[in-house]
Amino acid sequence: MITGSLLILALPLLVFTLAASSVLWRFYLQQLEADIAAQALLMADTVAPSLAAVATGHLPDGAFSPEAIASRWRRRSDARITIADARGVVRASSVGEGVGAPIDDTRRPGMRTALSGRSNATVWRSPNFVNEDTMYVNVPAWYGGQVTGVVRVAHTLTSLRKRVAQLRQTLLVAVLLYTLAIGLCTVAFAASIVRPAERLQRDAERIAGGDLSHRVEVRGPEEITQLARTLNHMTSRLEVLEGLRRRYVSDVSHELRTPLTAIRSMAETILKYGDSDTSLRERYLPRILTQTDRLARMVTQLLDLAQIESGHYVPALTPLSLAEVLDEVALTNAARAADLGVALDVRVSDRALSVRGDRDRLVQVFMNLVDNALRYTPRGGAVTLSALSTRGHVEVTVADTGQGVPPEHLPHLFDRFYRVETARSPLAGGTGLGLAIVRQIIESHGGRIKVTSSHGKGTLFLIELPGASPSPLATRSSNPPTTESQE
Amino acid sequence: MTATPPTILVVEDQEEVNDLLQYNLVRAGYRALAAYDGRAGLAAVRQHLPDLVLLDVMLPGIDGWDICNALLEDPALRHIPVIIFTAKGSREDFDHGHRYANVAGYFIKPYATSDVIEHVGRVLADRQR
Repeated sequence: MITGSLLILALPLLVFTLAASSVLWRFYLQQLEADIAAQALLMADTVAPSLAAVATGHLPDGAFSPEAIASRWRRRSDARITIADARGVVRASSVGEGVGAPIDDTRRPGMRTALSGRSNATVWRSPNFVNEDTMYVNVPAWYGGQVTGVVRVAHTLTSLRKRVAQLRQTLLVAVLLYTLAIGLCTVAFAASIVRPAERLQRDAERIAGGDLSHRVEVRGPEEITQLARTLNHMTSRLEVLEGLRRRYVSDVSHELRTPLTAIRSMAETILKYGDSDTSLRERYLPRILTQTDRLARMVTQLLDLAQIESGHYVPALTPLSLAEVLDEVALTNAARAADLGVALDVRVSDRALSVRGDRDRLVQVFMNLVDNALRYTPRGGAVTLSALSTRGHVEVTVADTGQGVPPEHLPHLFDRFYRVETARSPLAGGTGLGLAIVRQIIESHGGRIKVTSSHGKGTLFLIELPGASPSPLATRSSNPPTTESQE
Repeated sequence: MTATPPTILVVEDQEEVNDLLQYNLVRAGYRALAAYDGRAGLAAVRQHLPDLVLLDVMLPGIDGWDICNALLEDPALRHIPVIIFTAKGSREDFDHGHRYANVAGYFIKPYATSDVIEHVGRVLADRQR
């Protein structure tokens, strides 16, 4: 992958290098042509009078002979100079070739063209210089309005080619080094990300494998340490949740095994000793029934709780007459209350008072609360259900005149399996799930539940539900139930 | 049965379960004592020096493991074998039980009472040898 990215990086640079050397070559070529042309022009001007003298046979004072010019320039530059007169006879050559003979067009093309007055330049692979490209400039020498001859300046392109090649080489090396450097940096950077990422992956797999106590090492570049921290935070939360889940399973197991133990012990003992001790049946068969009922109730409530807590439960909200709901609860419990010698009353000031809710679930709420209240209210006491409307809310209270809940228990009253009584309490039989279910139902209705209790005087549950009109949407509240204690 | 039957202390907070264990123990020829919470259980061990203790782990007050520890720390009580009951039945609890030298048995609720009585007989026989 890194090789690929480097290629992508290096390719444009290579293309650029080649393009740049080609542009430079053309630029140098143009400059060379201009230089040679300037030289040729200078020489032509210098040599024109002496070439005119070839015709007249008289060399003016101070005029340079073509030979002198050719040799002078030869000493000073790499250029090869050829000078011919108006008749096309070569008068001087810096390499001393063909002097005195007419211009050989195959070897010195363009000279005759210049004799007709037209300057020309060409790049030519001349036989004079084996395998060397050469640039020629042919310039006519003007004197007194006449072409008196021609100056030809030739320059090989070898040194120019060398210079451009050198430049290209330098550029290529630079590109190579640059690509290499970038590559190394990339590899180092990738390694600094990849290695911690691989470590992170191994750790995450270990956690996913169930080792929730494992933590990722927070080390490496910023991105990785941040990821590691997030992973650790997530794992901590998972660990807490897993702890809660385990505790819950363990609690459920314990709560189910406890009545089962009693049932099994009773049944086993009756089977073994029932014939010889008839009092066993009388004593324990009703207890087996009670415990079985309690077990069945617990299973039902666990399922209820699981359903409500799963988040799939959305109460079907319909306007309900609160008085009707409370009356139904009171009626269902009337016989039991009478048996226990507890007065069970419903006090609703406004019979038209209504709430929006799931009727069956709200009945379940008040059934649980009344069941609870009856359980803890001694003979001669009272359990009262009342409702009143306040600022768009409806407040329902379930009050008893029982012994009250000790303040240390109040904060845990809505916890699953939390029971104030000890198992030996004669009133045992609660499942420890009733109030947890009550809280879940009330909160799913967008309501709140509070409990206050004063020792020896009784306990009061206060439920706040959204009123039916104007129909406010039930919002699931995550407020924990509030608990207060009045001593 | 011998003239002086072995004394078994039942420490269990579920009243009817405790009563039934006592009943079965007595019917099997033992002398049975009962305690319904941890503190009372520990006090009863110290007072009566039973031959064996049937101990529930989940107890109000101090729990079964605390009682095991307290017995191990007292040279006069460390030899008394303890049979553990637990309603949790988790692997951790079971492993935990093996850390105590005085734990001579481990039952997950609901247990068969006859198995418990049988195991009591076995543990006591082992101790006598």
